[in-house]
Amino acid sequence: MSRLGRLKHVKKLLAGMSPWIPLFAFVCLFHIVRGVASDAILFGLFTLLEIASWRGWLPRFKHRPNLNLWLVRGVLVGAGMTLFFAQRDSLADHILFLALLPLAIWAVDFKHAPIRSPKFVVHTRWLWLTLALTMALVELGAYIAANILKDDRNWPTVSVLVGPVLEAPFGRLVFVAIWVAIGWGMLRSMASLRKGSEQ
Amino acid sequence: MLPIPYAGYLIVITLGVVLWLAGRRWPSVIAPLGRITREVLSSLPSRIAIALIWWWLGWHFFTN
Repeated sequence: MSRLGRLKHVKKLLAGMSPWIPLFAFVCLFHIVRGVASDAILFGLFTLLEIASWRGWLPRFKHRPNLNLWLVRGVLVGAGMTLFFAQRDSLADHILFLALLPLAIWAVDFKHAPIRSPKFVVHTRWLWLTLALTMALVELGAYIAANILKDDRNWPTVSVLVGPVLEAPFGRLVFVAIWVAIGWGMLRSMASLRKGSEQ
Repeated sequence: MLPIPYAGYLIVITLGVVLWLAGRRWPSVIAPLGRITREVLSSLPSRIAIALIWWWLGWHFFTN
């Protein structure tokens, strides 16, 4: 096959690839370099899930979830209370997250045609993406500098800053509230999308 | 002087709040965050990715 032919073949192979795949693959590699096996495995699995979703290999659930918002709210509040009252890294926390992972994947399984965004929405998306990438770069820079200079006091990553906050009840309350609120907002948006796709 | 990462985090968070407020104040110029979220979540790979990131944030801070 000629070089041009090979290029065309690769282009065809990657057509419509989800941008989340290289992002998760990069984070997986980053955790391999850091030597954090658990996060490397998780992001490796996330990458595989995204590849499966892109190639249409994911099995569809026989019974599409009919999300009862009150039940979802109950689960989220229960999760928040467990995270607040249980000791960090306790068995309860581990069980909770292991139960939430399949539930989260099950909840996102529904059909909806991608929405075509007007220009100003696309521009705003780019602004949010730029902010997210800047945050990631600042954290990556802090991580590299902290390792080279052996100083994570002046070069703290977000984890180094948030860790002690979670040990204090008020800090933990705020973090749990934000985390639950994000889940709540995400599920509310999905419920509205699901409603729209059923009409 | 504030160490560089602290300044970086504060600037990004402040800009995020400004962008969020601008979306609420001028929704026809800066799309509100709710609209962005809804449009991003309309694609299955993005829904999976956002749900996984949300889950991982909780996992990372509470079980590591």
